[in-house]
Amino acid sequence: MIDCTNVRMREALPEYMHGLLDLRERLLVQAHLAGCGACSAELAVLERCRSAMSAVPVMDTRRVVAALPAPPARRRRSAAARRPPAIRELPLPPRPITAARRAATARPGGRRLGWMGAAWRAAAVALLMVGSLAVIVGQRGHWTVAEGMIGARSGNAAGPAGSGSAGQRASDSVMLAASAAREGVDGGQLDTSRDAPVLSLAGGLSELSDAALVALLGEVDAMEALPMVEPPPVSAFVVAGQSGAL
Amino acid sequence: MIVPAVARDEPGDDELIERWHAGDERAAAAIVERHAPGLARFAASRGEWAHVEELVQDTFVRAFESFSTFRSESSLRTWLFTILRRLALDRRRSERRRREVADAAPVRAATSYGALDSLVADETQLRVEAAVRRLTRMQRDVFNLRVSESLSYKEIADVLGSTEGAARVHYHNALRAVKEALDD
Repeated sequence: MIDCTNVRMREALPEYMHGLLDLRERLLVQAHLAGCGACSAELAVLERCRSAMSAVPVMDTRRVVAALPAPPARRRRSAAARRPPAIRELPLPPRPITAARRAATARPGGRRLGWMGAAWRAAAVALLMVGSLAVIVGQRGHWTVAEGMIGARSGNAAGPAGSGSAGQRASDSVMLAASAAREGVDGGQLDTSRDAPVLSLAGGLSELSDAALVALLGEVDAMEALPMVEPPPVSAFVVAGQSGAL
Repeated sequence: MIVPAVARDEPGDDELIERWHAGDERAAAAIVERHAPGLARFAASRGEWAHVEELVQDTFVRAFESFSTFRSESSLRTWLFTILRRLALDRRRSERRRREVADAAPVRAATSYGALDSLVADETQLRVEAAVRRLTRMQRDVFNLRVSESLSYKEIADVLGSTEGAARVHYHNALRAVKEALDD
């Protein structure tokens, strides 16, 4: 049989069959069916198909319901009921700030640093101190590092050491490994005036007065919980043709 | 487009969901009672006779666990059918990997399907089943959702991840094939 050309009525047949149309639409379809053999035949086919496919497999919906999670409101109430009222009503005492807690909260994520982290912290503090002294040198002039030992070891890191003397100036120069490597070794000498500051950690540090820097260094020295662990070598250095490691 | 009438004498799905959120577990039972038959039919039409209850249960569990993400942009019924179809696909894929996949055709004898149904299954029913079984997977899904569940083309497209136009074409192709099979 040729299909009906009234698409609107044809498309409404499944809803009509399920009784989902409102009264007006249902009457429209009924009127159309009365005069359309093609749609009547199609509706008959649909009803046979629906009947054949309508069998519902046996299943226990109570088991399905029992497997469902509890409603959120009930879950919240249950969780609240499990907590002892005395604890719930009492404000929590402030936690003492311990060294361990300070260390744990020092980094995002609150993880403890461990011995590797402590070593890196020690190295960072040593570099800070060397940098601070380098800035002082940059402000006061040049220091001499006679045979080029820069004592930047952790714990006693204090800038130029060995035979270096703060009192000597003139052609003396501080040779730091990074600068030497960057500039190339020019007879072991660097023009610190065009390379200054030799080593700087932050722009704001150079703005500090000598007294403030000394106070800062004093605070760094007074820091607790710094493990006396020697950090790994930071880099090689070259002083007046000699090489070594920091 | 003729718009299906909406039953007003029962609480809607949205209201039942709200009541369930507020702690009313009877609302959950009402939702299950309302939609489980259709879901079971759809699962069975996809050849999942032996796993109908498991699929339907998993569908509801998944839905109730995710109601916070349900935006009511589609109907709950459409959403449930979509979940069930995905679960059935996942299940079929995992079965295929285990090389335990059975033929897509429903095997009633090996299921919990009621014995009475087998007795009353007359020749017409068998012919319809045979005709539907010969449809492509997509045609069969569209035809089932349209004829058994009276989903609109838009809803069918949402469930099957297709388009309204494609759903309409699949439906009419399936209907023509079934008509021809029944006329033989």
